[in-house]
Amino acid sequence: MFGGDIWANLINGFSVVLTPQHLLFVAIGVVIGTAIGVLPGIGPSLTISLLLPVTFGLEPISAFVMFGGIFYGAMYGGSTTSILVNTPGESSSVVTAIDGFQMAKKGRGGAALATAAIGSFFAGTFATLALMLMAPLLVRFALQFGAPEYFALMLLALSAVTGLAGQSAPKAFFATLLGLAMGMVGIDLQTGQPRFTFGNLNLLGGIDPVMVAIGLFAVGEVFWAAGTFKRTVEETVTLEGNLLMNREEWQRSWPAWIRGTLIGFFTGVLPGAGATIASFLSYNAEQRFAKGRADLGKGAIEGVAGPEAANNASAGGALVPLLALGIPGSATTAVMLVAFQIYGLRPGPLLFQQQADLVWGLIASLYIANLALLVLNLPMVRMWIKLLDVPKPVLYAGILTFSLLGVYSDTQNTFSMVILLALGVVGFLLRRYDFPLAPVVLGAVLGPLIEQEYRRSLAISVNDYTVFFTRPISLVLMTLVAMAFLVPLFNAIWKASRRGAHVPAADVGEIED
Amino acid sequence: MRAIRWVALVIIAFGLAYLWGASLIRESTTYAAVGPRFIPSAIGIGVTLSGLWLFLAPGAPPEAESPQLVSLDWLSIGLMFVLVVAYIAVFRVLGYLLATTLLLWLGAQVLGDRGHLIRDGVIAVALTAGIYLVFSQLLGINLPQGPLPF
Repeated sequence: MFGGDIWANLINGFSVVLTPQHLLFVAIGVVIGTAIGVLPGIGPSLTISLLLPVTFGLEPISAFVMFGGIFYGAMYGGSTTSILVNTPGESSSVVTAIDGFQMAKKGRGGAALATAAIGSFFAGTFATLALMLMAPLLVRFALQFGAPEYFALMLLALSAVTGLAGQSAPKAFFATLLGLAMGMVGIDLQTGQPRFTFGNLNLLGGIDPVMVAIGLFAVGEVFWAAGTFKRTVEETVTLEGNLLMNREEWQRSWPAWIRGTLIGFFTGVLPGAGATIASFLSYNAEQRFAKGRADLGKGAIEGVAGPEAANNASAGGALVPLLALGIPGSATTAVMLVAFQIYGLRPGPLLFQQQADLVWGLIASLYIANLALLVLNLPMVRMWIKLLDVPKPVLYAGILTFSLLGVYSDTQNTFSMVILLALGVVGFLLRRYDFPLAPVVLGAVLGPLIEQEYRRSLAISVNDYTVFFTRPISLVLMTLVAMAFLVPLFNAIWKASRRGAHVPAADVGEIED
Repeated sequence: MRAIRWVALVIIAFGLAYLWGASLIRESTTYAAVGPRFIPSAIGIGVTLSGLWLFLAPGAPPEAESPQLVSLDWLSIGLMFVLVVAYIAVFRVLGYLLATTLLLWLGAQVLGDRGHLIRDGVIAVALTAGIYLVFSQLLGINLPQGPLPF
């Protein structure tokens, strides 16, 4: 399973995925992913949530290679609108707009798109490679994990999110807790007691975290759009010239790709830090190290190359804790975890052992997806630009409708739509007051899980509360949890250096990771 | 007092309400280990503390950074809300096809696509039919029929 076996596993993975059906789903995934990356207002976590009912009849590999394609694709697609319309399609591409749009105005839009696409390919491939090498190592380590370790790990993920999501730690803290609070609704598994149902039979099943994702991201976004659409004016630049970079641009790009990839991957592995943070950190790094850093803000290619590589690398990084440990670090990976649960699977060491075909098939598919995305985003980029002609009101009305119908189809009960609407209102209010949304989804997914691990831990130790601190791995993790609450301090330092980046207040909100 | 501080107070109130809700959970008499009330209570305390934290450390006012936050189109938002409530209310009565077409059509209007009534109407019908095909044929999901014969 480890060492030289990695390549054997990978070859096995390729053999699993190189069938017409699976390749078809990779193709569907990358096309949808790029499309939603280009389109503002809809992101990978929402898309995967909406597609979950559609994947019911599929075998797991088909579904997951599609989701992987969507995840990676969204990171590629976001740059197109950032560069050409100064409107990021994803919050992870906000930074790209700074220099990308300037480049487009100067007629170097094609070069910007090229560096974004090629950098994304480089980063995505490298990140998948790193995922492939790192995950088995982590799995081997995690085989020693018991319930206390998983509890501590999940607690660490939630604490890290508090420190890293958004700019305000108390707001992120509340957002995470809100998600956890929602996760408690329903029947308690251990005792059969109803919790927070207030006599309403419809709530006995709890609030589906997928519904939380859809409600916050789709319905909330639609309300927000209703409030802001008529006030926004878009500036578009047409794509002239070819999609080639000149020699100088290549020479400035590749160091930025490398920096962005490294920053992005490790940021992605960290729970709570996702593509957006990765792109900001990359921009920071470019400000410090790029050859053309004097031009940053005015159209320096490093300002596109670095962040676009970073956000793609972070997607690969985010899959490491998800696949190896079963710990999601973002809304998108949280929803993917739900997808695994629906199939009755639990990602983590056991999955690597028992469902090696699925895991390695997924990893192999990511390499294929990257290649497909490079082709889709470079030579075929004009096709995506046409997509922007879809009138936004129609698009958003469609998203709203599809969301309402999606949750209805799950339960055949209009009450689900009511909950969705309520969640939409909550999502809108959270955006209005600048709260991060992703931690809510993460909390909703992890809430029931972390409670189970806590109870199991205490059952094992026969109600001895020190169990979390007497087991060595658990102790280390709990120490990290304590330290994670010091991350707000790190955040303050990061904020201070970010002010130097002078990011425009692009209204993409938390269409996040 | 700044708006965010009011939000913090609301959060504190929510935390306390959540703790009250947790107190309604009946502990099982037979279950010896950690009961169903423990984690919810912890969460309730956490929420209350987060509200307190937010009250004490509200951070920079968002209005300073994004001008859009100051001038939201509340009328449109309200209309959107009413539209969705109406959709949920009539969904079973009018049936999927009618209700959804109306939602798409009117929704696009509320979101600002004024002056394209016919185009939006056509798109609404087409999308509704498309989604119907996907849901009922591909996925086998039942959608309410309503007064129309199909």
